[in-house]
Amino acid sequence: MSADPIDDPALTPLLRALTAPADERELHGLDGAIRSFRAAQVTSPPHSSRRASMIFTLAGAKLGATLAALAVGVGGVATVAYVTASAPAATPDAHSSAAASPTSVGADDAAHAQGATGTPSGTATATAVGPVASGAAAHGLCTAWSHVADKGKAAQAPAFVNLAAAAGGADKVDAWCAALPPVGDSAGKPADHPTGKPTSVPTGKPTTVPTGKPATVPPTVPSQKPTTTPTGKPATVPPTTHPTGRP
Amino acid sequence: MIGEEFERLLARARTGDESAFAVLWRDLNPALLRYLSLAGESADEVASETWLTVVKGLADFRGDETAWRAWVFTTARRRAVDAGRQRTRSARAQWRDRSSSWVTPVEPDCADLVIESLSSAEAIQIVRRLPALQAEVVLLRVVVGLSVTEVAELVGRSPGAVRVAAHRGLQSLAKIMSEQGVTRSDSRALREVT
Repeated sequence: MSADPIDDPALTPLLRALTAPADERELHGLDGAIRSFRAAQVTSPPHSSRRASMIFTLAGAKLGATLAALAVGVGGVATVAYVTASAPAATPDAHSSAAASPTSVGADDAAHAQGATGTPSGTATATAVGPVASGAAAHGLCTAWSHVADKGKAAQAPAFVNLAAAAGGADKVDAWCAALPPVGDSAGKPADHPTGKPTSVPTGKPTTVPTGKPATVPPTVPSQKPTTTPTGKPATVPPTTHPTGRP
Repeated sequence: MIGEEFERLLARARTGDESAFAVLWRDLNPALLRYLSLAGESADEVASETWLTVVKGLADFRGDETAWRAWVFTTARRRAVDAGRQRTRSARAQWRDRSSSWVTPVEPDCADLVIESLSSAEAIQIVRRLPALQAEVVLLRVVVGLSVTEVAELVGRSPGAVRVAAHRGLQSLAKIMSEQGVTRSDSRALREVT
């Protein structure tokens, strides 16, 4: 190629005109641009933070759902343990031997640990016991079960295994739950103390932790989660969600 | 070009400072309109669509002034291509024959231009006599001040192709301008004679 044609003097007037300072007409659009700018400040926060918060929401949803299920389980254990302590004679041996007093202590610890850190280690011991579905925990379990979207997966949790056992099969849980007597009328249980106490205890603990989350989370998220989350999340979340570790 | 102040202005604009954004806009909008004028009409419309997209993405933009210019003009080109498609679709014209260019060249018809007092709009009309790619590359190099690499990325061609297009485009323009100059002296000579 020859010398740079941009140095050709014949081009000078053209280049000067092309790079001339703005004329009035070229600055007319400023008002409109400012309006767009102003609107964008209101409507679009930084994409990165939106993306981050979305991931956080999904992670939180899954964690929340897990916590809710755990809390129901733990609450159930605490309830049963409480019933056991106050009315030992009326409760089946099977689970009082599974550690009545350690459970009541451990359940609280587990609940706190969950709230604070979300570590699964504490709950592994608590859920291993699992609430007795035929006992006072039945209502809590049924409520939790009705809010679970992925029933196939949830059915493996100890709490729900007990529920399914009480109902006579996982597919009969819905019918069994529907047939439950109203709260406070636990059939076969000592009528005196349990009615007062189970209501006071479970309502205290479960409501603080689970009620907020299950109400909002399961209806919106679970159906999409299996498709959306697996790619992004494994790096950060799996350690805390322990979907595989529990059963 | 804004220069040293750019980073500070961009940071302020990103936090919603309208006056900082206005400085960025004033600096770039004239070049943007001149570039978009290669398509003929609707440059203003496409420019405001471009800014609409830019302000939405402002919070995520990272980079220096050159990157900023490249980003704004890449956005502008996309909007221009969209607008070009709409134009040709509504006219049911031969979009396929025009390849993917949104630049519409004009036939040489501006013999009355007074070269010394050429306006930028008239200058663009002269550039539009070039083949589409050459016209676009010349404007991006000369008016916007982008590097060969940036232009190549923007128009989707190799740097070599961009260099050649710029070279040929400028050569042709020099030729057009010389002829224009001859025309002018001829007419002046003619006036002197009569």
